Amino acid sequence: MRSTHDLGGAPWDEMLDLEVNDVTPFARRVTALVEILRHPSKQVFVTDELRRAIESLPKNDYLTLTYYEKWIRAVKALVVEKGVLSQEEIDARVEEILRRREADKTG
Amino acid sequence: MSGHDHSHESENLPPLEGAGGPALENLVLEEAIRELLIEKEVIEAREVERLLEVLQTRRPALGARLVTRIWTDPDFRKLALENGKAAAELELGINLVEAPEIIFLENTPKRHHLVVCTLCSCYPTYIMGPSPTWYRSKAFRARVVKEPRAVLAEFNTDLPEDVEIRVVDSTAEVRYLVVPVRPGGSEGMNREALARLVNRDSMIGAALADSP
Repeated sequence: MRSTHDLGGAPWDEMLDLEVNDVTPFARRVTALVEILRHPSKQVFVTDELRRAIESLPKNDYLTLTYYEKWIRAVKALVVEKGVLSQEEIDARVEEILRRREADKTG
Repeated sequence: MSGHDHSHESENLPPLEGAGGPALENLVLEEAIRELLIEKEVIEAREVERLLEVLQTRRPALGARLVTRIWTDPDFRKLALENGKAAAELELGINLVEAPEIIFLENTPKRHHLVVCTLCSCYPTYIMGPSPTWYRSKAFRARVVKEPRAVLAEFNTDLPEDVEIRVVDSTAEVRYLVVPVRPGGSEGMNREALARLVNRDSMIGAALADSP
């Protein structure tokens, strides 16, 4: 069976969207993080591992997340897999940042 | 720099990300991972900042410089077709040791190359910067290998029937850069003027070089 990411020649009758531009500050930060982590001097992961992690995202995430969202989800999976960070500390930090943002908004 | 310094982060709130912007949970996920990696000294804040600056220097204009030198310098053209990475390093004065191989695909009046990455998003980012969003879209990846002329028509690129179209699929190891046909009427133009004719999409094969 064809994998979700294997799109070449798949039936698709949607026109291209030539206007949309997802190269945002978020996209640049994610790209920077990826390039640092896969640099030979650190090699937390290599390009093929990143690709494997992206392709291993749940099908619905693969099809609905934007490109750089998939990258950051894959980075999360890889740093956890490699034991660099734990799932729990990432989740806790996300919660903390969300609380900080809420405080910024209301404060 | 403290990982908790977020005074400048208001620019990161979702509305400013524009179309295709990330959900808040993913925006915050990047922030969380970056903070933790800095705190654990896996990475340094200044490394991130330096790389963000480097990313800004990668632009389609660098690809255009390579194309115009291939158009105008036969020795360089020979080198570029034999060893794309060496040619790019020579002309641009940048170090591409970490980059995948670079292969120039030279278009002719009878053969047109069009690049895709059906499995993912491979693109000469080390030279050209991030790929256009449409290049990574599912519609482009799915359709272009089956109906390249219909896809090209959406770019207003119409090629005569007798032009062979080769759709070339990228891999993680090899990045393609299309050398468009030098447009008629550009004879005698200097490289700087020529470079302005080499639009980004022409180096993917989705468009032709502009006419002078």
